[in-house]
Amino acid sequence: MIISPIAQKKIQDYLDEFARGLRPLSADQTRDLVDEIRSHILEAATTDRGCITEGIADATLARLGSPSELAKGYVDFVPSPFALVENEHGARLQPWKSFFSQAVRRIPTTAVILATILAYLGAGILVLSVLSKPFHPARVGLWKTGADDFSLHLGLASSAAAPVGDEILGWSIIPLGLIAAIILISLAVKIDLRLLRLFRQGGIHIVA
Amino acid sequence: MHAMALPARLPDSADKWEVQLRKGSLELAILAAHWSGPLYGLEIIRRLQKEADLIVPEGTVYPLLNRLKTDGLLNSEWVEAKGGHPRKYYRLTAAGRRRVIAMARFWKDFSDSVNHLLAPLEKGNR
Repeated sequence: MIISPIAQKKIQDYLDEFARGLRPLSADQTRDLVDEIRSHILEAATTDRGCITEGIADATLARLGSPSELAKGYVDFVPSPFALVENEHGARLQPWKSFFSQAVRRIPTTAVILATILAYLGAGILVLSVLSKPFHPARVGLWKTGADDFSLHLGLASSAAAPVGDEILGWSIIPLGLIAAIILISLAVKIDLRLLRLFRQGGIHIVA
Repeated sequence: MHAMALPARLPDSADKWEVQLRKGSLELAILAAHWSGPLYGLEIIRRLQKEADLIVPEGTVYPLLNRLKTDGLLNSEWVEAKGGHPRKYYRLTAAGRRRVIAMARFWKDFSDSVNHLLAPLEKGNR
């Protein structure tokens, strides 16, 4: 195959711009898609004599459309995380794997996901702790240990002695703790649902 | 669908409808084109044009192929072409086969219903 230097430059410029438009995708997927479009261009533009002229390259690139629009066609599509996909053996594939693997690659999203996981854990610990109050009243509570010193104990360390001082909350730590846990969980769920909505709408791009 | 005698050029609104109709049937056409074996992108474009008179913008076909692959209806592999560059071939998966059969069944039922509705127009056109 003989490609004129100008045609080669035009094709390469097209592919470079196409690759830039695919930036939200992974490097592997970008390489695969660029190779596919390159293969298409080289075959579609080759004449019977096995050469690619500038004019034919122009016509081939025009039929493909603008490289940024072409890239948009790939990037804009984000499969639903709830869509169960079957592989060639008919086994259902979990889309969550690709969601979390992509989230791991994007730090702000990852930080938010970690924060919500911590919120769930914190809420769980809070619930378990306050519910253990009836069984270990001396280990769960908020103590005033000095003029301006407070000590919150959630009964996690079984060997720890109760602090010296007045326990302030008493049994009200149970409803207060439960309310705090509900607030934490509600916030975390709201944030996760927002992330999922963004994910479905294309705000977070995943790689299949 | 039976071919009907249509005016030489559709009015603009009907033209847009035709574009939408072709667009809507593209997924079925691409999946069906793969029924007898694997195809690569340019081959799919040429087959659609030759066998179904579907002239599809090339910039539309490739993202759609990628979407069908992401949906698990097609899978792909690179094959070295004789004396040339490698080509990315697409093949129907088991899920893709089931999907295209279901879509073809719907298409037949739907087109039969529409043809039934259009029968008086054909008589009127004669």
